Amino acid sequence: MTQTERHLILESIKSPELMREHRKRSNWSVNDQVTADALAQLGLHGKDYFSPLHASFLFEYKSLEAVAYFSPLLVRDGVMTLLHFFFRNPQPNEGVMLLLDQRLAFCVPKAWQDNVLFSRLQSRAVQDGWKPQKLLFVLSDLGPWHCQSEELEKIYQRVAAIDGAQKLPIHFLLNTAETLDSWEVHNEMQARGLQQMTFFQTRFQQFGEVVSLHQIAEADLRNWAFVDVNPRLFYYADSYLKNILWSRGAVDLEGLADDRRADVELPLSFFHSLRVGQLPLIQNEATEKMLGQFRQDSVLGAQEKYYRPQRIAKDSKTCTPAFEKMAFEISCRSTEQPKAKLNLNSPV
Amino acid sequence: MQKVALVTRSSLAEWRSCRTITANLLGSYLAAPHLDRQVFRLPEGETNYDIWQLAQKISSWQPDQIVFIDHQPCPGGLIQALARVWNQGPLPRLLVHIFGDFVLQCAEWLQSEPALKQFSILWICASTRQKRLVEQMLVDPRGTVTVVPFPVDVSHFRYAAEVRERGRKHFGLAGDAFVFFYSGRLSSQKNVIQLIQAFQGLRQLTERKLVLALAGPVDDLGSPYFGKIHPEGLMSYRLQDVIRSSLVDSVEYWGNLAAEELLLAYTAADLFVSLSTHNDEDYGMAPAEAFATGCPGVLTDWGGYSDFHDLLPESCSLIPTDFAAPEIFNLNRVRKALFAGFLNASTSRRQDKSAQAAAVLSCEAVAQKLTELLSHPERVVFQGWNENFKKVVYSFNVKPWAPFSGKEGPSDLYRKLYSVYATGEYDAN
Repeated sequence: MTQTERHLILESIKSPELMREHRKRSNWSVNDQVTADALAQLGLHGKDYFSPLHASFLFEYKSLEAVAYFSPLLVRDGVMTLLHFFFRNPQPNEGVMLLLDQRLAFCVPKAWQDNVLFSRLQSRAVQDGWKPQKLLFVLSDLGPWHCQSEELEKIYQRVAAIDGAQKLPIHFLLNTAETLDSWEVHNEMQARGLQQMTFFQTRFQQFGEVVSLHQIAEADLRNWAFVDVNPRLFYYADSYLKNILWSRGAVDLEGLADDRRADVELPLSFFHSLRVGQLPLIQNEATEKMLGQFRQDSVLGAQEKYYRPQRIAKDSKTCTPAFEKMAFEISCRSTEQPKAKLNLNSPV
Repeated sequence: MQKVALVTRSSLAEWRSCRTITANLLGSYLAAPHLDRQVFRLPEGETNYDIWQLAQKISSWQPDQIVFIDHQPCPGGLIQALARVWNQGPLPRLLVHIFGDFVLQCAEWLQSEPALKQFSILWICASTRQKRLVEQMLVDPRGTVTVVPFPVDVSHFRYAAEVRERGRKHFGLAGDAFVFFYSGRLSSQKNVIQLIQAFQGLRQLTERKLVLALAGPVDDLGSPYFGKIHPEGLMSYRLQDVIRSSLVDSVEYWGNLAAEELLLAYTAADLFVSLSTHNDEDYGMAPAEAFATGCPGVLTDWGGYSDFHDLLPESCSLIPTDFAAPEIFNLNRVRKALFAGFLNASTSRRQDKSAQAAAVLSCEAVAQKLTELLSHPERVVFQGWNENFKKVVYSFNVKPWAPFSGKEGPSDLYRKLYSVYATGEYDAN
């Protein structure tokens, strides 16, 4: 990343006061029922929080102009809605700059590569030999592609490999909808999270304790390590719950091995920060091809184009089940390819 | 022997300071001699039936006096039930400890007014300025409002040189580092950002290493009384932003500390500081605990903080607050006060200062005051809430999201009532 680009990012960070002015949703968000439903379906992961980089989901935006206005903006979308954004917007607008989770690099079409920087929200660095005293699993099952059973097993294996992890007391935080009027979503989410809880209880051979968001938000979590069960980042990449955990001092086990150098590092709390870097040009041929084919198909492409405005029914989504399935396939293919590495050769 | 019923709730309070206060108040009442005491607890999520049952229980025990020692739920409902079920002899006298969030419960207090008027009531405030605030809301405050500070558990919070040494090691402090310490919610209500800004100006005045240590939960409550609600994460970011932009490299966050670590922190620190001008600042449990460890303090002359200067003049100095000025305190005066605190602080008299604080703030010292109140023969029947109080209720009804906000800044009602919290009087007219 050049000095100019680095400067651009730091200069673009708006003051909290200015951000508050801009936060009026109707100024930039579609603000329709689909958006509200899509956010509700993410439960607490999708809850709004303050970010100097206007962390938000791309499906909320009215237009590319609105996206450009907030650029660089921190994208919270997962694979599905991010691919859908690129499907709807094959070419970027001038001034658009997206900060994407680096693990979503495989989603970026060639036309967008100059308008994307890669970022990682991460917990504080811990010293070698740091050992947590409590383990927390953030459980959610947001849809058919959220987490497969073999992925659950892989998560368990990774955690169990940490020295002493088997003996740590385990805790569960179940993602839920926040408001009472979403009580149906709430019950369904809890029920699905319970299946994952049973899995971890069985594998760790202990009951564990369910903790509430309120308990977590009040606590000092410096001795806690956590895992957000979201192996594919399919429905979201950036979670409100994770931000709460990080800012209270908990350490994300999935991020422990990350290289911590970055072009820009922006502290967000006493315990977590945002790292921004740049990827070398990547060839996402499979993604390009699949998106192109989908767009050009007379039925699939047309259905997708007119899908959202028609959706007013319960459980409305931002894209068709067909697109969701294709997004999952792209995600599966990406896991079979070698990953591009973040360019972190120029420390801050 | 007098029979005294102590009423609290069965679950822990949400606010840590309120938990501590209720536990310590209970400790004081239990330490008061010559009383027949019984504790009655309201179950969590109480219904009217639970309240009625508790009233029955209390009534059958026939106490002479009933003391409310918790901040929630509002005792109004129980007092109404007591008025209904009491059927033998004269009604007991009520003693109500008022907490900072008293006005939040104003609607329920107003609703209970007919029942309250049947009792003789003593409102116990934690500070002189809170007493003045409450007096402004009563039809006839004479003989019905008094001040007793919230007690501190001095068996835990007290000075010991060995603890100071351990604390400084625990927090990794260099031998000569001078530590300004703030403990409490890291919230805009407590003016923590301004504290960091004031601290930044001090570093060029001395070559000694200065540290500003912060402890407590970061909160994004904003200022809900004034309609300023913060999104989650804003305060965390603002703290990082001010630390980065002020180029302050000596601000340390010691975490959201439990009692054991808090003792180490107060004892390791050299000067306690708080610039709070929060409308619920009726007392100041954190400074009280700091003073109990002999740590001197610089506080805003605001609300309950002001009494510490009268109680412990050697330990506490105050920064004037001005209700009429655009900024409630002047940052330069803050810097001067902090620097004066730095120059005057000395560890040599910590033991003495700790003992002085214990003499006025310990559970035993407070128990003595409470014993006097309980044995005082005067009984004054409650005369009702006045127009000011009714206006507060009206504000909460009309604008529950911003009851004290006016067209530009705080409302006239807020300025009128809370001017007694600031230095000198402010004339809202």
